[in-house]
Amino acid sequence: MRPLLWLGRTSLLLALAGFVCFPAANAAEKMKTSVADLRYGVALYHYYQQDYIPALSELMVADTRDGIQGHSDNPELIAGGISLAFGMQHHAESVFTTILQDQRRPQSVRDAAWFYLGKLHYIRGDFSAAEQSFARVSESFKPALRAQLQALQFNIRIRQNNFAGITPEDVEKLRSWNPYALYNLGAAHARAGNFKSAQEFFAELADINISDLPKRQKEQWALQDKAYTALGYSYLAEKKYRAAIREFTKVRLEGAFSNQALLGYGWAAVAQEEYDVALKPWQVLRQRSLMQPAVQESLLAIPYAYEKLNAQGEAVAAYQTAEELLAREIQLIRDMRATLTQGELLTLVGSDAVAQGDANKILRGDGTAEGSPTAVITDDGQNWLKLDNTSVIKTRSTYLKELFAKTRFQTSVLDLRDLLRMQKLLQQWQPKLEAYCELLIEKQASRSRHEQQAAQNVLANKQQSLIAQRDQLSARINNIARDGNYIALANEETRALYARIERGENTIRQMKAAGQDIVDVETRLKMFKGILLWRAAQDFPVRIAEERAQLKTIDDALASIADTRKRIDEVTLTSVDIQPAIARLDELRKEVAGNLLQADAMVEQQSKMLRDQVDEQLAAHEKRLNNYLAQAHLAVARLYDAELRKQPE
Amino acid sequence: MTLPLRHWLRLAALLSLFCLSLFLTSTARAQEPEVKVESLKESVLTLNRDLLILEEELLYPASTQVAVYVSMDLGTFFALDAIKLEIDNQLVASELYTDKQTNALFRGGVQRLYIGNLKSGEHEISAFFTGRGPHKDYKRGAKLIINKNQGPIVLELRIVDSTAQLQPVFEIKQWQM
Repeated sequence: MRPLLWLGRTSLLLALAGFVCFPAANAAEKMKTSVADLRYGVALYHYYQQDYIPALSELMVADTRDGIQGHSDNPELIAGGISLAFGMQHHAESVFTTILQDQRRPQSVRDAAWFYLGKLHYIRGDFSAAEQSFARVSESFKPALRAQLQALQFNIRIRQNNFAGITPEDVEKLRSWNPYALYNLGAAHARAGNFKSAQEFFAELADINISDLPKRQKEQWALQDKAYTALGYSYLAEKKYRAAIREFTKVRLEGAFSNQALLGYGWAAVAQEEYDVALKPWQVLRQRSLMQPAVQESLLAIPYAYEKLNAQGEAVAAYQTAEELLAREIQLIRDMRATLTQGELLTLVGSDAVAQGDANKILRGDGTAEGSPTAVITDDGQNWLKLDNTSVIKTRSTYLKELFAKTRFQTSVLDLRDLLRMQKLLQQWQPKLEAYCELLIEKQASRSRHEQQAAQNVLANKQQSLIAQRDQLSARINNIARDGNYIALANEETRALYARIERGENTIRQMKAAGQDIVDVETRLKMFKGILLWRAAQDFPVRIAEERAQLKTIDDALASIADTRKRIDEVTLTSVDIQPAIARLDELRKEVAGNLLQADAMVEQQSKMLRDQVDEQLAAHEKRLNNYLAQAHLAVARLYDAELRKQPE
Repeated sequence: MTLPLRHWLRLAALLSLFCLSLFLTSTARAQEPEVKVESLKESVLTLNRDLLILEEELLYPASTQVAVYVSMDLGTFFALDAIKLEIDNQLVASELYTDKQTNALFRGGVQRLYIGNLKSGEHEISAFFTGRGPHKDYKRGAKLIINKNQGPIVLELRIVDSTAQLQPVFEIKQWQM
């Protein structure tokens, strides 16, 4: 039964929203206690719009930083729920398991985690594990979710072939899940050949009071139609033809199950050899779309009834019409197989989702031929509680409806859609990362230029100072060498003695002017001066060499500064210190490219898989119609042959 | 023509009337492709997280960052159509809201409307809200003067139902970092 189909990807969301998110809406203002809460709110904002990648990314960024505060266990539960919606079952499982490992968590949170964990096991077909998880949910669990849990428990019993003891009364407590459980159990008994038990469940379902809510009414009517039809076929199998006809006539003519009911009605009449009665529902059916299997069946059923009524002429005409219509229909399917290419499906799945109402409008009639494989992507993947074909992809083509309703196909479509979204995301990052790399280089170069400028200024000042010092020293050495000024380079003691001699000479000049006798003193002073000059002259070559060595040292320092300035210029040009940041960006760019390659390959693989499924489905329809066509050919030949045999030779 | 009974049974099978297997067999399908897809999803999500963090560090460093969020109450008195955001009389962000977006806001979602950079000093933040009330259309504004220092600025544009005034209230809240 379809409603539970959607457990695979989206079913948990509605319940999860009920458990986790509605409190957030009711007390949104009160609950925010810090900026981190805003991140949680942003994640919810994306999640409510079914934008799962940004929602999960927001939670992951928040987690990497300081986490989300003030929302208790909700962020974890919501992370688990979004992971499920995004088809990340293993990740969701690890989230719920982590929650359950902490014994301090409140019972309500533990119940929710056990419930979702059980559903995960159920989705994977591990019914025993699912049963164990469900058993851990306490009696105080939210009633609406508890009803869903019990419905799943009944399904597990059906799967384990342990449903014989279940009575219609047992499923009464399932609230809104009751009709589905009744139907599932009825179908299970019918499959097992227990038609009497099946009828009990179907009859119980047919007796349910239709809800006053228009939305629920539509759903309930459809479900009851299905129950009446199933009842009819179960009576047919028991050869209770009157009862079968009684049930078939309860099905609404405009309902989705009326084709099957009309066909069954006819066969019930045929079984009682009331061929003229059988013709009535089949003639009604015959006027309907030929894409419906029941209508195709009526193409051969009508002439069969004519034959039984001995109306051979009408039978031949009806078979010939069937031949013509079936040939046309086969060609239509062949055209569809040629049109629905891998690229076409990829475009369809990648297209923008449309709202449920708009999707129905498009599928009801868009001006294209009836056989057109029109399909749309819908955004109501969460409405898995509905009875009608609720899915991420819908088609107006009856030939593909059955395939499109299968979980495997829907999951493939969802996976492909997610892959396309990831592909797009990665493609969007590529040019951005290029730009960020350029930005980083420019930013770093600019900063380096400033730093270099400052360093060059310091060196330039030092260089100027050294140049002045060198010029001064060079001039002094030149003057000393030119004047032969030995005393200038003499040691300190010699220079001090020489200064005393010069002072003595000055005193002698004053004494001479005063008329005093200075001959002896002057002679001795000249002798001392001569000795000092001789000593200084002896040391002069060494001293001047030392001075020139000092000059060379300054010249070397100036050369070194010039070299350093040149190196700074070179460093600025190459920006060596940007490398770590560039390396990080490069690493991410490689990861993006790698992931993109993987996504491309998987998109190709997934779209091919979808195309194969579609083609396989259409091929099966083509084969079935070919069989009908062959039967019609044979019937016409048989009737002509019989007619010929009647004619006299 | 083949026997009618064969038709009934084949048709019943075709119509899946007695077929419960849909939601049960669906669970038993091969898991391998899904595991591969999930593994890629994990990888892309982790990468996306790292890229988002890097992007924020590069483009909106904390010292200059300003972020503006939008939140809504239950919307009894106001159905949001559009918001315009100005900083120092310059339009920096505007949004026309779809039903899906406003529904997400009603349910407790918070929208990050704008993230950008501001120099230190005083700045004027202005938000203009357009929408419909139960009895009339609204076009209201809210203003806030902020003083930007070295920390990031986080602002929340709040649309709250005032039960006392029976009308919506628009305000800008600055979060302390």
